[in-house]
Amino acid sequence: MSLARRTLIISAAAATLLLPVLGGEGRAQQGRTLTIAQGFDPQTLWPNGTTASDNLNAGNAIVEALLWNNPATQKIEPMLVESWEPLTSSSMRLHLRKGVTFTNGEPMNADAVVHSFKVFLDPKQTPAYANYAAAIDRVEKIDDATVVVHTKFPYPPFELMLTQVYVTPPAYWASVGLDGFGQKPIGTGPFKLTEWVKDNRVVMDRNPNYWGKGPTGIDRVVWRPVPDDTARVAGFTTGEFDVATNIPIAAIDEINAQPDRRVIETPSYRIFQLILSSLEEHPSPLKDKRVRQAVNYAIDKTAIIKNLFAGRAFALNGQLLRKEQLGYDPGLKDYPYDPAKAKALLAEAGFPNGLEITFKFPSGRYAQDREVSEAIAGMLAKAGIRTKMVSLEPGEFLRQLRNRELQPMAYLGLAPLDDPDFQMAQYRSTWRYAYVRNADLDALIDAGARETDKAKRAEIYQKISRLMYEEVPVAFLFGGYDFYGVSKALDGFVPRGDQRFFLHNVTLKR
Amino acid sequence: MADAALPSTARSTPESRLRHVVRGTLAGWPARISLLILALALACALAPEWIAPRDGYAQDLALRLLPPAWSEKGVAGYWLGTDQLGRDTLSRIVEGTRITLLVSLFAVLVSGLAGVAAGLAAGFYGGKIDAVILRLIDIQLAFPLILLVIAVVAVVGPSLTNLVLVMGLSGWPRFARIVRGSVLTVRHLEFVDAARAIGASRGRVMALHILPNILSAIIVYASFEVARMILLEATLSFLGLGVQPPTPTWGGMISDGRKYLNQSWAVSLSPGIAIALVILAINIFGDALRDALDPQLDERL
Amino acid sequence: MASYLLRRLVLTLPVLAGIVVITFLLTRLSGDPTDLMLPPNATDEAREAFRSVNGLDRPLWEQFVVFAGRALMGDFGASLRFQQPAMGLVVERLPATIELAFATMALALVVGIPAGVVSAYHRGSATDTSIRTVMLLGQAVPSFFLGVLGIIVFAVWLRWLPTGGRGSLAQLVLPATTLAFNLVALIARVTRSCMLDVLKQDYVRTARAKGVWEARVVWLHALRNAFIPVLTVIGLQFGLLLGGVVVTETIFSWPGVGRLAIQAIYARDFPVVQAVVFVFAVAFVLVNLVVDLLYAALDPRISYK
Repeated sequence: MSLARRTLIISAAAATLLLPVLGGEGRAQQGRTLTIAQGFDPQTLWPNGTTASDNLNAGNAIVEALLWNNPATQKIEPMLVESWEPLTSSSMRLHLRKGVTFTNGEPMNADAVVHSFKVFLDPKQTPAYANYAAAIDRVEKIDDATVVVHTKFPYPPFELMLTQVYVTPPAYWASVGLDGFGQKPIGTGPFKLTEWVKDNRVVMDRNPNYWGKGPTGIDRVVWRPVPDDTARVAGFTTGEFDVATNIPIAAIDEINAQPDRRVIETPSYRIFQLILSSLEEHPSPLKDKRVRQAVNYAIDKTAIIKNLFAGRAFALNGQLLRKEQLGYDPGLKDYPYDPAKAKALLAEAGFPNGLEITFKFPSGRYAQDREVSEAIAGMLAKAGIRTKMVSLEPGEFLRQLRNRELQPMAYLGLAPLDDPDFQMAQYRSTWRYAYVRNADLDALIDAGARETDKAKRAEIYQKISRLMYEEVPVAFLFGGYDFYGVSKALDGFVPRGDQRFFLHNVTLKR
Repeated sequence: MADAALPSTARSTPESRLRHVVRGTLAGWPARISLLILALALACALAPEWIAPRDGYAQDLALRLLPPAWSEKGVAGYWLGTDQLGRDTLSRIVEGTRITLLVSLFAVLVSGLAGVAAGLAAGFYGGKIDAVILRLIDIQLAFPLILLVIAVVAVVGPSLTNLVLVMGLSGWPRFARIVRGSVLTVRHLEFVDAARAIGASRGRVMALHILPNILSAIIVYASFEVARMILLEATLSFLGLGVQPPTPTWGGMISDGRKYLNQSWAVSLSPGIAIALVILAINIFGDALRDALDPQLDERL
Repeated sequence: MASYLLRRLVLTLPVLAGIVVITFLLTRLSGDPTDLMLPPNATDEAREAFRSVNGLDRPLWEQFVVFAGRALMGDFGASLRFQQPAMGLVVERLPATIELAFATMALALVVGIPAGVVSAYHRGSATDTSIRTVMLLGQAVPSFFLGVLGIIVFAVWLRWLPTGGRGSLAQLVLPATTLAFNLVALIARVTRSCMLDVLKQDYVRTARAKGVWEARVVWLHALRNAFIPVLTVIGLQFGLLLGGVVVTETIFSWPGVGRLAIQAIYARDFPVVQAVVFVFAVAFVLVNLVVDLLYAALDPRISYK
């Protein structure tokens, strides 16, 4: 027997012997364990530590907020605050849920809430939420179960702000500090932290003393960080995970074809647009309104939605607000796809032979960002707008966005919280990454931010939308969907448009 | 003259030596096939518009992710099917040859020039210069390559020139080490001493006497480096730092297409096969070239 | 021996210092991380607070002095993202990466050396050609593609192995195999060339002539001599191996330093980037030192003064 064959046979034998030993381990946990795969490991499990949804989803299973925005009812509902009523246009009385304790035994009461607000208001400890905190004037304890919150001015998204305040136990906080709390949080939630192996898994066990009904059929939740899309889909398909976030569109049909798997499609708060900078400091043909309108006419959004998103994205109607939002204008319709009109507008603006422009886009920040950008560039080219494409890694993209360097044209998706002011404030000239400067727009945005009468407020936002339609500071593209792979054994899993989902009322049938 | 100083081939004239090398290189059939593949790749790089069956940039969203023409749902004329934007995959592979080869060849050129210069200086002058260059080599080798490339590309932006420079920067230490080693071995050979004795300047000695003697080592090593650079560009594309779209590169196509593997394997596998073929060809050709040039040359290169 | 060790260690100091300086400059060049760490609607006050807490508001030279002073003590400051000591985050993930690196190396040696030996022994035969072709193919496929393919075939189709994570032996197989592919080719190549040399040597011929069983000659005598060049190449390739770790760890959600590094770079988390690069550099230096020392152990002819 030759040396080659002998070696080959020995290796093959070794491999055959080893494989069965290896298999079987690392399989999905069965029984009453829920395994959730997200893109990233949490940086901190203290929800007010960051605004990243991966952190919040995990942290919120342990630490709870005053109120919550229920995605199933689309209403703001009680959480640790049982009921609330406005006292004046800038103060609110909160009645706390009674008899709730943190898992370390501390009581959840007015002192704990006042302490949590104190942390929330300190930009050194809670820089991520300083924008909300800026509206709060002071918080006073009335009795053990009642507090009153005062804002500095009439504040329309008052309740939404209260959904952002997470309640922590004061004594424990004092003993471990902010960083310690983020690593070993103590809360009132349905789960408590058992084990956290960094970048590998976060394990939480059921809180037996949970004040509410809590999840059914689940004793343990395991959070797994899986950054690669293909790997996350694969792990979900094979049953390693019961829930997987950010499923790529290309994988949806395959998953739905399986008997025990499905994909939940949630319209996202994320609105996709092209920045068309009209700032003086950004010299480009886009300064001319007609060129910006031409860009809008040149993009076939319907084709993008139909082909690249398989219909799983929604058209914008020439405005940035969604149909469900206050201030949506049903009278507005989007710019139709009309390359001839685009060419005519370009010629009118002095570019009869078309023009060349830099087009920046992120690579790996949004689903299919490269593909969509390339498709848009192809469509623009047909109308005579030749683009020089610049792909940016996600970190650099964000940095440029916030330093107003994402100009003259860039592909962007913004997902502000569910209040029209948070959407529109992004186009106020003073906003860090506003690529438009328009005094009329600024005045309307300010008016909307202070108006507490709903009808009047809606009218203001309709005016804003019509102004933006005319001035086109952006090209209106589409609204995205978020896709969650969810095991059919899991009921009551309802994600929200800001990529948040909640475990306190789900049911696992196994 | 310089040629007379070539130790191993002192007897032969340049032409007969060239003929000898060519004949030696092409002695086996694997080398011949490799040469054919490389010639084809070169033709694609030089005149893609004559070879590509369609316009590799033309999008048709209605025809996206078509399978190859021979399969059941294939469409005639799209031989390898279409990509995620409905562009012809075969045409893009042909188009992509140009930038893929351009980037990798120039990156090797950059690292080769820098590395050879540093290696020559270190080996020839020795002493402090040698010590400094050795430390620089160590720094570069110890610095995680990917981190360096990501950081630099993120800072200066992913233009073609920057990409070539950064990729080139990553390869120079290996050239420098090989050259330095070779210089050290030939430095004290008689012909170098003789040249110095008759008053040739250091630069002249290096250019005319030392460089020709280590050229074969450099050429062979460079051929392997080209393959490495093609892969590096692919990895950078995977991390979103490669050549800018819509310009096709093989690495970029694999990286974009891998997301659609379950819908169309051809999108990402066909450029992958192109890469594999060319790298295989380069390696086999490089091996043959080495054997023909100088059988003593170390295969560790 | 001791003085050689000392000299080698002293020589690594400028290398490490150079790396620390370059990393510092590279990270600072890549822009202010404040905007990446805070949400877009953060107030100016919050931004200022963040800068002053992390020392980003001070002049560059001052930042460097503080940084260098602390770095000497092994303290690379607190991660901007995690608000924990950067070095601690790296050390926490180091075992995972070391495990992966060792498994990869072992696999590559176990496959690469026999392949190289067999290939050399049957030089020019069909066996030789096919082994070399397969090895070259391994070198020609980008590791991210190989990784994705591995997941689809072995995890999804065959269901033999899990898709990722760390904990069981099964979870180690795919990432280590993916990472080993390039290395196997290299090791086989070097082994083959050394074996060709060695097989020509007198003592091997003598041994054969004396009738020593063929395989014993090949494996024992020849292999020992081939080992040194293999080691050298491995030492030099170590930096590339760490580069591959970045991609492989991301695809297989392996909780190691490579993944930490790429996330830190994307988030401009300077302290973590600096700590990772430093640890990688130290690892590179140490591995090469060990390789040098192994020379002496394997080959009695080499001695260090």
